[in-house]
Amino acid sequence: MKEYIAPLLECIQYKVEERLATTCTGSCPHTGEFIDSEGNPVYLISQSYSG
Amino acid sequence: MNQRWAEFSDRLVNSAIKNRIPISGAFELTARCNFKCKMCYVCYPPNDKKIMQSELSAEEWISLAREARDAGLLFLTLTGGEVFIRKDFQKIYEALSEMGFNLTIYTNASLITSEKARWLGSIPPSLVSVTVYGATPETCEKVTGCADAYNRTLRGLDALKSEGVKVAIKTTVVQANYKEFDQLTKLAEKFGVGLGIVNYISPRREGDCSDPLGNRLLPEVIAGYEKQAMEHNMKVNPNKKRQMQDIPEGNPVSSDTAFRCQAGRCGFWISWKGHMTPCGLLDIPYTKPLKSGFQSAWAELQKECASVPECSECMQCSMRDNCMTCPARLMAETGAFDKPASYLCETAKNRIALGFNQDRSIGIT
Repeated sequence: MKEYIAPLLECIQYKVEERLATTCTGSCPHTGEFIDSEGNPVYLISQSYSG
Repeated sequence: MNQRWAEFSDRLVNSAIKNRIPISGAFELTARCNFKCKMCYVCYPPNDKKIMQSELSAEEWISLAREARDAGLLFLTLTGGEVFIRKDFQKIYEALSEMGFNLTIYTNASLITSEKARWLGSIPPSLVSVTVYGATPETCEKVTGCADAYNRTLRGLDALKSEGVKVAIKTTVVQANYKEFDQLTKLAEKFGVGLGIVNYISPRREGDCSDPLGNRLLPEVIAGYEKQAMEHNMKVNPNKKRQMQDIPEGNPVSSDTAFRCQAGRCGFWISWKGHMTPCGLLDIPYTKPLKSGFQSAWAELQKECASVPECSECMQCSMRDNCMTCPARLMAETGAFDKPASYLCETAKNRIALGFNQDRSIGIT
């Protein structure tokens, strides 16, 4: 169980809800938010754009 | 983010998919917005009484959230419309926060005052994702139809930052703002975050005050814009290309439905009128969680998704790796789940012509 604690904290830190979000944002394996977390300054989000 | 987290997150999602647990969801709290963006897929005026009467009440959202939590919901996005337009947003948010969800808010930030930012800072979500519609007041006005949109959004962003709320900045690229790429990246830089680019504009789902198709970029222009973004990343971070290739592509869990994403497999969307759909682009298939209960609605939605046909032409297409095709986009574009959409085909062609298949240093969804 311990091995999951650090990643879980990263989950919060890196807002992975974006990766896991319902629409393409999180659901698509090429999701932009994932790439954002890799440090790229620009990333694509093919998703809902409301808000 | 490190590879370890990527593995963990894949494992979490795959487990949810395997067990059909609705781990990820979105609540579309309202269809109303104080902006009138030309490309919006759901757009109603702020004081539309008919819509207000049809929207779910705070109590209904809270009740749905409770049931969703019990069914396994962990990651919850609150979106609209503009969520802060609801007078009872605070009541809803506080109840959801109390339930322990990992919350994300999508907003244009224009209604976030210092007072609201202070409140939000006291019980912060995981992220507030703010859409900025242009790099100048003039452009923002052109896109949103709101004269003070730019200044109000920036004021909201500043207020959130000063209260320590984690923000993300994204833009929706359309004809009126696509030439402001450089300025927008600088703006995001100023706030210490990357710039998210929403590169796909879908036809309008509902509402009557927008014209998405008349405002989205032509396939060759969107591909060129993506190329510009790619080159920007390469310039700033030349070593990232190799690292990107280390990220496994494709979902390791094979799909037994036409949806390759989480939609209807471990993710759902509940629209402002209470319809549960696989994702926000779709209005069908839908189920009614308020009527049948969340768990039953989720089970029924999965059955509905299983009968969504796959587009065999898309599946066999040689451009598939460079295409945004998915059942939701095909339905939005063509009115059918299994009919190729010329806009998506043309975009893929242009991406390939620009060498995207050789160079995946930016994510293409």
